[in-house]
Amino acid sequence: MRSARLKLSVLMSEIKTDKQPQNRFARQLGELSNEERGIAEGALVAAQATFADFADAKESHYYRAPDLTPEETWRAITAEVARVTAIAAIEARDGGALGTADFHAIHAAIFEPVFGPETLAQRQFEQEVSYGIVLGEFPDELLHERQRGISGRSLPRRLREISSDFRRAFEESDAIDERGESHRVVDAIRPAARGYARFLGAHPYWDGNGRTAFPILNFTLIRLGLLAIAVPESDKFHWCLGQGMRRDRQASFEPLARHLEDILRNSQASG
Amino acid sequence: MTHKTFIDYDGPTGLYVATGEKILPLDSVEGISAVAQSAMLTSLGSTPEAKEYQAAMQHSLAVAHEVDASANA
Repeated sequence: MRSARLKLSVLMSEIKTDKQPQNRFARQLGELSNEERGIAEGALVAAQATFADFADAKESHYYRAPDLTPEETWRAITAEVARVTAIAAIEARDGGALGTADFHAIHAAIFEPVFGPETLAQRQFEQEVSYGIVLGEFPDELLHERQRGISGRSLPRRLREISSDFRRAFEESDAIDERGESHRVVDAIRPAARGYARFLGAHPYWDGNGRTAFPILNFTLIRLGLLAIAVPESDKFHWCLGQGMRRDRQASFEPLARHLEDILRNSQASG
Repeated sequence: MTHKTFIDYDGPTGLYVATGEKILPLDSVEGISAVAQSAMLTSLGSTPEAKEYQAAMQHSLAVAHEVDASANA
């Protein structure tokens, strides 16, 4: 199974080329298909649309890029997230896997065009990080706690496990196709939810983990035959995610999988 | 990749996005906006405390520079 090769830079960007990612996914602008042009144009408009929800998160490393205001930084990252997610979707539709190098390439592809050399690397060795997590009982007794990501030393192994889980899910799904059988929605959503929650629980980066995990989530959903799912901000989402991210014997990916399935089931095809 | 069929879903698949209300083409402004907003909003609340974070970040950058220097030596 070939690795996904995300054509991250074939789409237009408002970010200048001197800050383009210097990884194997960096490409020069090429001929755009109508589909890619539509996504590229949409990504820029999307950046404007999300500006109303600009987060004044001064503690974030990705709060303000060199030579940009915080608002310009937000807008630029939004455009990159939109484009990378769209290209991940295109690649997933065409098949392929998602290796650990792809995780890092996605992170770099989002942030390097904006932050250049100040883009954060994966945590290493003794470096530890904590993050917010919603636990307790939904909806009446939510507990906002903090949890440590897994140690930097254990990160490479955890990311390999996540990648292997994805690969296994893709292979099993393809085997069903080869037998001429049909799938169930939950069989596609479960591996996607599990990988998304485990990636966020591991927290490979100091910052930008959610924005990196989102293209991974949607790559997986589309690769397993479904479509992208936008996850509106809500207490329920964070609680469901918390159930999958918690690092005790009570961790469960089922609430998040059911939440994603509810979003899908409640969505009506337009036109 | 072969087209996958579902016994319990017959809606659009592939380059579409489900928003909880609609299913939109991913190459439409409305569709990609839904994706971008979701990705940006769901990232909130996961950043470490500022003091701890800044110290850790500086250490991370120092290690990265050290690795780069070794690689280029």
